[in-house]
Amino acid sequence: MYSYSHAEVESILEKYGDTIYRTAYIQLKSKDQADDVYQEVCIKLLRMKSKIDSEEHLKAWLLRATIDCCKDFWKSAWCQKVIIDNKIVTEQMEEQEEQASGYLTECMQQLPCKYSVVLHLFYYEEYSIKEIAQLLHMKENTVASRLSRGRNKLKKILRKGGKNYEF
Amino acid sequence: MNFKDSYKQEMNLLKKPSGITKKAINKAVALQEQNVPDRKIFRHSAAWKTAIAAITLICIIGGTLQHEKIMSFAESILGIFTLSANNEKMGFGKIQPVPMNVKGFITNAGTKIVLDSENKAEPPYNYYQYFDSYKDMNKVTNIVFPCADKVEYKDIAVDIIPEYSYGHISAQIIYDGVSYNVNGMYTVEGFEHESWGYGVNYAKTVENYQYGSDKTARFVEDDNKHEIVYFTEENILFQMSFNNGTNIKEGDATATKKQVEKLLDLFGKSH
Repeated sequence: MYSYSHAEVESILEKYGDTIYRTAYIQLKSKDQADDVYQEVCIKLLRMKSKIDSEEHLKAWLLRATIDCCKDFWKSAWCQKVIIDNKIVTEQMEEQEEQASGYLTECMQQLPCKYSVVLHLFYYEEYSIKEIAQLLHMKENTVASRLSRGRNKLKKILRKGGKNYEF
Repeated sequence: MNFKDSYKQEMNLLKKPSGITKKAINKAVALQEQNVPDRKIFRHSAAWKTAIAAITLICIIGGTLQHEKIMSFAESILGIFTLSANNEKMGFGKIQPVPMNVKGFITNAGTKIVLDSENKAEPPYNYYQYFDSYKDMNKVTNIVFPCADKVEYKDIAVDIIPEYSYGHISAQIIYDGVSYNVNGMYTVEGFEHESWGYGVNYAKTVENYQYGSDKTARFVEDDNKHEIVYFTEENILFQMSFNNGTNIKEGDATATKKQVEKLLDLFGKSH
């Protein structure tokens, strides 16, 4: 049977729901799709066979599940094929613009997911490179290089918009 | 300006929509009640993606989106197609795998692999191919379309995810001067998933249309009054949109409901 009751899941999501939502939104660039991922993470949590003992691990598990769900989304045939069709891409971009929450979020969303997720975990969630590597099941070197490249790409995007930020 | 502080400030303003947790829990409960397994293939509204994938194939070919924002998800039980609309389940009968030469298909020179957002392909690979005629398609895939000798099939696309042993087709049918956009899902040998099919969330059955001696097509309507008809032929679950006065757009199929029924009757006669 499943470990977490509905009330427990509700309480966990009350605490970490925004974290899940923000992580999904930064990668998927659409609030509708972030909603979808949020629901999927909730289902995963409800279907867990054993409880996670610490808050720290629980948060890491939720982030990992969110990132996995986003990856699944990008891999999906629908998403892949939509990208081929310029007309639909344009429509999607317009939709994204409408949904954008702020300038920096918009700039982050212009980055490929592999960079935006690392930057988000580093700057927003304040995970160390080592922790991100554990979370994403990657080598620390890979995380460090993605962080560095992502940062450079982001700086370029910000400069284009006439903004200079200290990193 | 410091990026970290500014980004944090901006991100903190982004909140999950109210009521989303309750909605997610209710959805999870509904899935548990329906006993939908947590399989990789059906992770994260994969059914929604699968259904849209087929629709999008048509969009690629025709350059047109048949239905915007159709919320769909797939569901059924071991080879028996079902359609789910607002928790209502409708069976379509048992289907058999198509005798497709998958290896031949994916090694064919014209086959392409669907790429991800970064123009890369990662497993599970999704292979697709376009065909100018039914004859070419049938030769390569062994997939049979209904009444191929009586109607014309144009702009055919076939895709397959060999790892999951299923794929999609899409095509334009020309019959009696009328054009119909159709897409479908099929399985191949090795398909083991317990869930399979099409469905439309937030939709209701408008009508069950009997055709042939024992066939039923389901007319389903979504929130936007877009109607889609579902039926199975030749072991393919077909999904077809038509002009019901609300979902017609430039480039869409011109068929009306009556004409769809006429086409179904033609399919029925060939059984």
